[in-house]
Amino acid sequence: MNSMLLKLELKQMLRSRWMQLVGMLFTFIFTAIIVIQQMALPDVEGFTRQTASFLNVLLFLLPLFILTIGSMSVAGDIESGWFSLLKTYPMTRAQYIVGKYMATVCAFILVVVVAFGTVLALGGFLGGVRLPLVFITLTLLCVVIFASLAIAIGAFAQTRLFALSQSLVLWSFFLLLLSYALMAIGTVVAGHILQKLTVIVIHINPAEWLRFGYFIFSDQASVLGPAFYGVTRFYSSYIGYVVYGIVTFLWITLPLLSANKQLQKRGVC
Amino acid sequence: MMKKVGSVLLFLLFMSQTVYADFDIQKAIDRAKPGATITIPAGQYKGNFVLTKKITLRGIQGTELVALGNEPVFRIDGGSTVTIENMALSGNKQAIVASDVDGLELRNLNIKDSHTGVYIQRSKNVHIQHIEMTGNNSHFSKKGNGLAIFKSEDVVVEDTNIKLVQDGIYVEEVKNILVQNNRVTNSRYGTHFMYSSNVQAFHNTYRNNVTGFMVMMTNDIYVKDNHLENHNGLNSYGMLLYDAQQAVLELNTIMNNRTGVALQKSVGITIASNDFRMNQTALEGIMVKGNSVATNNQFTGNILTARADRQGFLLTNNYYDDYSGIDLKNDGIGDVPYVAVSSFGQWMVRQPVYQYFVASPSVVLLTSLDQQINKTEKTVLVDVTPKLMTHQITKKNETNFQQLLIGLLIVTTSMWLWKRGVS
Amino acid sequence: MKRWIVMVVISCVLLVGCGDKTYVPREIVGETDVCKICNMSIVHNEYAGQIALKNGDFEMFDDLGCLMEYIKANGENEIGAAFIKDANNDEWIDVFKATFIYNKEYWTPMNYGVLAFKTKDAAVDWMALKGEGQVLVYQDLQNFNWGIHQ
Repeated sequence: MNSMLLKLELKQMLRSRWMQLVGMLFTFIFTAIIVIQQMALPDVEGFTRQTASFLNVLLFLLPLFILTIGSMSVAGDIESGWFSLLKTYPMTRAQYIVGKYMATVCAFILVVVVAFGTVLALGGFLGGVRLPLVFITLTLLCVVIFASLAIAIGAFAQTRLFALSQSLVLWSFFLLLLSYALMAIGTVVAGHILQKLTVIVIHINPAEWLRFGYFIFSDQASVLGPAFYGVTRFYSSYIGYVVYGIVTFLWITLPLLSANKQLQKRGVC
Repeated sequence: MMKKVGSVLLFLLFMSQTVYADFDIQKAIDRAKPGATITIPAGQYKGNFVLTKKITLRGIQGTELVALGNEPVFRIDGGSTVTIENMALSGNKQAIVASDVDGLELRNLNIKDSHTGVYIQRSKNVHIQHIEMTGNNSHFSKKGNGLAIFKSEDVVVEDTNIKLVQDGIYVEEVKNILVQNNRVTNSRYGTHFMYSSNVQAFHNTYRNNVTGFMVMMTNDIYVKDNHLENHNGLNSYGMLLYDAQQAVLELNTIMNNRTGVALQKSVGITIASNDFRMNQTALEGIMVKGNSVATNNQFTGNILTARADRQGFLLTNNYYDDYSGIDLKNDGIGDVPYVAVSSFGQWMVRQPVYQYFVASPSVVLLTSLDQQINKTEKTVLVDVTPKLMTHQITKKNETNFQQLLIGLLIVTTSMWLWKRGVS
Repeated sequence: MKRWIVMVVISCVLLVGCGDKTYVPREIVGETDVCKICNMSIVHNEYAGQIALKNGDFEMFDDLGCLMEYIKANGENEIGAAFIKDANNDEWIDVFKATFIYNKEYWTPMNYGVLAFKTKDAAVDWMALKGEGQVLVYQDLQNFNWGIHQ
């Protein structure tokens, strides 16, 4: 049952014009930026403008697309009555959510793979491009975390439009507003308070969590500055890796659980 | 038979060590007439030797001197024209200590297992050449310097290769010093100038240290053709000038450092024709005074080109790879100013915790807004005559077929999957 | 989202509330601490200084001279306490109450040549062993010509 639903959902998602457009757009922008940077700059290990733009393109675009498309697809199911129809089949709510989640993850992994393939091909044509393993892992983490958040937003939204606007709000909150708020607070409070707040924000903002993860796992934690020496040293230890895994796992499961609860509460059955 | 020959050879080898070690260096020194040359045969010698007169000590291949206790191998007190060359030295605290010497030459020395390599004070006409020194892997605070020179005059240090020490070449209160063709890696500072004057540094290569050049309270500085690379620690700089006066830094390559060049409390600094590549911050200025200027430099791939406090410093005629203006007048100069000032850069100068946000999505957006807003302002850190590319380093891009094929394979496979998923 | 905001506010209050009014010097962290003024990494811990600010931040210094320069530039209003290492026993002592001795021959990381002692007697004893210097108190340091050796 579950795999049938997954197939159905995946087919629906891949068929949608939106998704195809997003796939093309993402591939195009991603490839353009990476290849331009690659060609313009010498190849150097470490954190450079090239890696920075790589990371930023990833963090800017992927969450935006996943959140909007994922949430709208769930909200659309509910709005159009498709979800109610599905409920007549012998299928639990959890099965629906997991199926939807898996479909979203698979669809976006496909998009990402197309983009990476294009970068490799074009980069190879122009003299070779580096695609570090950390980046690939991080991209996958980005997909699994934000797909989960997208499902949760969809479950909370009444309509597709509402889901869209909510995704945009959450996206700008994670990518921009939270950082700006923190920077603004930093101008009035002491350094050690700003440092502690930043550490909190790293854990409650999935975008920051992924960015932080990049620095940890690519061994470039010194980029974050001496103020974060203690935190980065902890996360560079084995216990730190385990904690990183646990927090990441929570970021995947908690939104799905809350989506389940919300659908139950709303009783869209 | 072979075994027998082998053991005889082994015996000879063992004997040769002990036999030559019977050569009494101190006795030879004491007996020598001023200006004499003593050749020390190969072998390992233990002891602490004192030189007080004009003399040349020359080792040959395999001459190795080991200090006893905390005294150095050679203590040179006073005298003139002392030369030590061609030998391996190890001292617990220092290998060589020289005081009040006029005309000291140290050449072709290999120093190991020493806290500090060479310690020189109150000397004149010092020439140090071809020193190899390797420290250990402990923390910088537990190690000594490679070469430490205090209160001296007319010093040349060249062709040394120093690794894993505190400061590669530490220079304090020295007048007229030339440091060239040296190589310092994995140490705290490559070269550390303090309270010195008339300082020249050419063709040095410093890599993977905390900081390449640390220049403090020093004046009349000329730094040219050096390579400062990979200074990427938590508090690293390619070069830091603190309270320095009248310096010219030109034609250096400053690549992949946390901060390329930082000026603090410094006066009259000219930064010309350097190549700043892939640094997190290329140039930093705090409390810079008196006609300090960065001109004709090339900034490529730095995350932040320049940051400063309100005082700033002058940027003129540089090339910036992220400059977006055009040149309608076709005079090689961009028509609109290049804006290097950014709110984020200023915050980072004030409060180091902000470094966390370096190149984060929010800051990238903020910085591009800054550039639009500040374009009209004629403030600090604005280059009104940005240069357009003059000479591009053209590197040949050879197609990487393997990668190309893998890429194409991935794209076609995933496209096919997509197609299949739809139908 | 409300939950997060409440959490942030609470933690803010907690963090500020934690700053009690007795200032205790903190340990030097060799990997990260550099002098606030001259940026030298602190490797000679036995000469280091630090200032505990009223807002809970610490500023570290590699030499007494740099610490005084910070006070000169920023005033004393924000300073909760200032500490310098005792030249005798590598322990933190209060800068405002310490006794200082100066001789250009005394070596310090910035070669400012001023050493600190908890008591005047300790300073006198030290000089008897290592050479005479000029005895100073905190007020003398404020007008001291740092880094100029005649």
